[in-house]
Amino acid sequence: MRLSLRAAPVVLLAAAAVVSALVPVQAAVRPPKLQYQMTTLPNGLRVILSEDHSTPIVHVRVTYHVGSKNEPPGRTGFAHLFEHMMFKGSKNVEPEAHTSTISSVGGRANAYTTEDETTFWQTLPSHYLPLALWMEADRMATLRIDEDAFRREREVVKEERRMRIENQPYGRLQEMIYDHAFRVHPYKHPTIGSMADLEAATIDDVRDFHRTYYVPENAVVTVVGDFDPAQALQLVTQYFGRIPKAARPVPRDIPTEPPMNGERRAVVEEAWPLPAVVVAYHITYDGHPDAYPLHITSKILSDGQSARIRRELIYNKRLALSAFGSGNIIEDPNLFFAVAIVQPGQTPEAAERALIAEFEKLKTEGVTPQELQRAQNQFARDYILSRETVEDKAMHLSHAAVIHDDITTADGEFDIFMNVTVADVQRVARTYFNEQNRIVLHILPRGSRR
Amino acid sequence: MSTSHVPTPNAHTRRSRLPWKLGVGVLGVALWASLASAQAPNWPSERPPRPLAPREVKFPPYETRTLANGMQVVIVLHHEQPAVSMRLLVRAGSLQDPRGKAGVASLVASLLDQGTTTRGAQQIADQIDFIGGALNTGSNPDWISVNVVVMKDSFDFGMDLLADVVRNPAFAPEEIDRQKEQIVSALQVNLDDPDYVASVVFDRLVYGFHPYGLPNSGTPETLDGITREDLQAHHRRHFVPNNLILAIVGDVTSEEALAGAERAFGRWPRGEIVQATPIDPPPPTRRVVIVDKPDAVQTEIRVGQVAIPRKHDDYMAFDLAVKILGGEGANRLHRVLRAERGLTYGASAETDARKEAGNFVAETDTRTETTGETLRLMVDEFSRLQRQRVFERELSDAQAYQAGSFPLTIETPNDIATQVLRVVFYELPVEEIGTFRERVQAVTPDDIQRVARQYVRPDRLSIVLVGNASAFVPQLRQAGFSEFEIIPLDELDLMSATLRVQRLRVEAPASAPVPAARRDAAVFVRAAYGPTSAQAVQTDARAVDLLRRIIDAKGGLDALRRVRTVVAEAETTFRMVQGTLASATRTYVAYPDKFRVDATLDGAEVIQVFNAGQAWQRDPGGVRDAPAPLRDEFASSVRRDTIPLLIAAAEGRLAVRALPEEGRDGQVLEAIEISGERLDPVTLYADAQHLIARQAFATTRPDGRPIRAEEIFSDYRRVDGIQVPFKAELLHDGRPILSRTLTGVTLNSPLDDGLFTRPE
Repeated sequence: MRLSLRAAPVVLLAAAAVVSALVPVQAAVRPPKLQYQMTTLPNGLRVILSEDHSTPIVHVRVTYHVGSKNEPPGRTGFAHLFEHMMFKGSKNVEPEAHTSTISSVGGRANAYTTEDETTFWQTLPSHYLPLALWMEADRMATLRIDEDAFRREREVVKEERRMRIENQPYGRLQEMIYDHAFRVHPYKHPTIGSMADLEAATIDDVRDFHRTYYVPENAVVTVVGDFDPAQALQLVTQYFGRIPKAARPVPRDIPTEPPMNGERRAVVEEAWPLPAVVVAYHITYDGHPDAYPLHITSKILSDGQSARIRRELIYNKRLALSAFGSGNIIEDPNLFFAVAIVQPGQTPEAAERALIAEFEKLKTEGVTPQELQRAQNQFARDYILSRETVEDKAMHLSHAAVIHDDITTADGEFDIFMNVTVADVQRVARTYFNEQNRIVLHILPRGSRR
Repeated sequence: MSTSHVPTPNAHTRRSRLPWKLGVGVLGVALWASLASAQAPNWPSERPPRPLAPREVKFPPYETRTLANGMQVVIVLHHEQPAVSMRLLVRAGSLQDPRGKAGVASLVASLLDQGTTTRGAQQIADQIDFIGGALNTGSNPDWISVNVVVMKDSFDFGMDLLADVVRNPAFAPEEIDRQKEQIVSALQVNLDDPDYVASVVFDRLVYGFHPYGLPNSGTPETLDGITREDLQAHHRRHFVPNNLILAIVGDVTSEEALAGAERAFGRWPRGEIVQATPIDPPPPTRRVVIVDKPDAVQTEIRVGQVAIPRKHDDYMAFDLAVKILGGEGANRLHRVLRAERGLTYGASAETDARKEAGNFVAETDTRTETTGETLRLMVDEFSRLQRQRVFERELSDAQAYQAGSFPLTIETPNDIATQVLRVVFYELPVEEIGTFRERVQAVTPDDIQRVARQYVRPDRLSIVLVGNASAFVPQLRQAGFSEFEIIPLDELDLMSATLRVQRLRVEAPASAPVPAARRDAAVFVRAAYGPTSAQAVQTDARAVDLLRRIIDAKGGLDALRRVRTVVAEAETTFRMVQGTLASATRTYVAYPDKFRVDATLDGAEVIQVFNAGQAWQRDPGGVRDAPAPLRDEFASSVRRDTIPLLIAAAEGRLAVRALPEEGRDGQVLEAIEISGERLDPVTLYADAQHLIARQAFATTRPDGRPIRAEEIFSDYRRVDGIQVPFKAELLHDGRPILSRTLTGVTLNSPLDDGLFTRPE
């Protein structure tokens, strides 16, 4: 008690400082631009180099422009299963030796697969740059394909599906949303795939996939860190330059999702502890002019405790344990979806009404200049904090090259975001957040359905 | 949505080598001829390229300062990005939760940013979000943390906001209510997550009722009992500047950082720090607990035991030993379980070394059908690590990763701050950061063998399996695991000694009427495991059996129930720092809740009385109420009294579980632990005749410090059909406090109520 009385004048001063601190913050701090150079080798491989000498480490990233949306029917999950096969050895690298070799020099290596791309990366002490490049080139050129290793790895991937999806509360939520939202586009299927399709995959599929997609013209090599660019380019050319150009073009025949012509609703049951409600809308693709106001909308709805959905559903109405709404803006047109995990004693119907009301409010009332400014400041913060490490920088550069096919977007998008207006936000809300374009799901705890 | 090759953050590896030294080309060529896809037909067969010239690695500069009020400040400058982060640690994690109030520290942390004396919760959110900053709070067993990130032009604002939420939290009742509701719902969801369930049950097995053993966020029951006063008391006691460490990291100058810290915190007066020193965690005990989740498609597995705290001379060697078992650069578990057999997506082991104690744990998940095989392989790896010397190469691989990856761990200003904060928090020598690589490389296979022998006890592992029990229990038997407890998920109770809501019944363990759900569980056990089903609950049965023998040896349940009053005369010797002090005492007990001790101490008469919740004392200075801590101690000692304790346990009002036997002073003692909602665990050790030879429990000293108390009983004599120990000795933390020899005992003589009534 004594303490708080004595501290009171200080508190008042602090409160005054708050008011004045708020005034000068208008425009977001402009982050430094990424410096880089890009080269294309004769075999079609694109190479991005970006120096960062602050720590003696280097990040080497190879991104192949192939993901789960390239999978043919009956082979869902294959792009990711194939990613695992890239660790089963190549002509000069023993099976399972890739990661251990990198770690034996103090480096880290891993890989991941998304709907649109597959990335292999390593971060290691910078003087081992030749090793990383050499190993990546070796498996791009000469993958070993062994039946026993394939069968064993398939079991590993099935465990991964069980762990991530089937044995987690709400683990299947995303899978359910996409299954209901899409009819023909492969975004309908989760990247991890189905058990049946994983089981159906064959060793011939592995061989075909490597030959078709793991070719220089479908890959981007990004190197960020402490190196000499001339030496790095020489090394990349030495190891990757000798890989022959692909015999045939990389197929890009992905079916287009037709527009919806009426709201889709579904009520399903899962053995989850609390009900979940989803409200989703089809939206546009990454790089489309509407994508930027949609990103801003995600922040206004969900970034921070003052964001609209969080404040209204969690804080004010106490309807939800967790709630958010954001756009999954990727290479092909995807979804903007909001989810609420409903508190005990509250109804899914009330949660649905509250979520839809937030989308309607964006259309009818728009957002305030203050909210837009907040979202832009948050965007600037993310922009800065997501460019701290060599891995972060490489991720942005390679994403710009692979998905936008335009390396300048790695930095150029900052200004686009800063120029978004309240009118833009309202316009895109009116464009996409409409009933005939909406999917509503109620997922109820098993046995609770009326 | 993305899906990875190996689970992060554990980059699993195997049999790593430096290929340019050893050469792998020959074997590679042979295999390639038959296996490779011929995409690049003329690809050369070659060795990996040599590295370039290594570059110098230096730990970036940082400063540590201490303000006049004792607050420690760490400053790390970094000017690449225009941002500053402030990270504050308060030495007040769940380790400091009061007994029976698990979740206080976590609730305090979650409420810091939910309103101060001058800003509401919404106002704080509006302010930090508007400037594009971030504010979050958290807690773990050792500390509460508050992190603020702002752009450099908002540094002053960020510092003031940090100071406000740390110094002046409002703990508004409606916000407490909101947070509790959120936490309880989140716990409900977490209970459906096998990973969470396995982790909290594992902690409970390893640390018992030590705060590290209890869930950081509390349970719905403990949260229910936490009041606003509890939160304010935690804040008052621990949030003083000399108990805080603040790191300021990023795009500021050293002067700006220090001036900011001074302005926001410098005038806050130093306070007295009251740190709890909890009881020791129990010794490692073999215990296998299965949490039954019939809809699980995988079994989540944890295997491990108590080891060493972070500040310990063996930490480096032990951490490397555990990395050989399951960490980066080596990872036997990954090789055996994933690479060779495809049993799991990820397997790893790690040390979890905290301030007061530590443990190590191996974890994996596998499909239900391979649970037995996987557990067998894991436990075998513990045995191998303990029995066999590690290969030089395994150690050098683990060392190569640890030492070599050092530059990766100092990349961002926050990475640097993390390392400095860790050293400051755990009170490690600050030079340790700079000498890290040398210390890694200095570890030898002999060191690994020594620490593995010392700390790895494969016969005393805590094992948790969360999954579809009926489907994998037969596999466990085949794999050689015959003793385990099965707890249905909806009966899991972390605050109970048996870990389940159920109470044991002594009088008729098999046939007593039980609620329908329990009956189903019993039928399920029998149906699933056939005639040997009793073994599935063997540990429980052993506890019940031992309890019955102790009661019989004492004189039988009926005789115990007949005892209404006790009057005992004794010679008592107190051992104090100044010397010993002899006293004659007379004790009156009227069950259930009254007692009185009359003592003559140094010629003065002293009386202490507990009467159904009230406590008073009389000494030459007069009559007065006993102070609250003394009253609480009286109340606890009434609950610990052997006779009502045994009766309540027998009637199923208290939980009982068997502990491993202990060898002491040349005799083997069997042990049971008795606990209940209002009874902290009491351990009874029975001798060969099943007489209680020792009783152990945790208690607190008048100054609030927890201690482990033990009473040693001997010279049993029969009084009216009851065995009474005529000699007793009390020890606190192993130190003798008093010894007592009875000179006369009378049971069931009528006692006047006036004995217990406080005089006016």
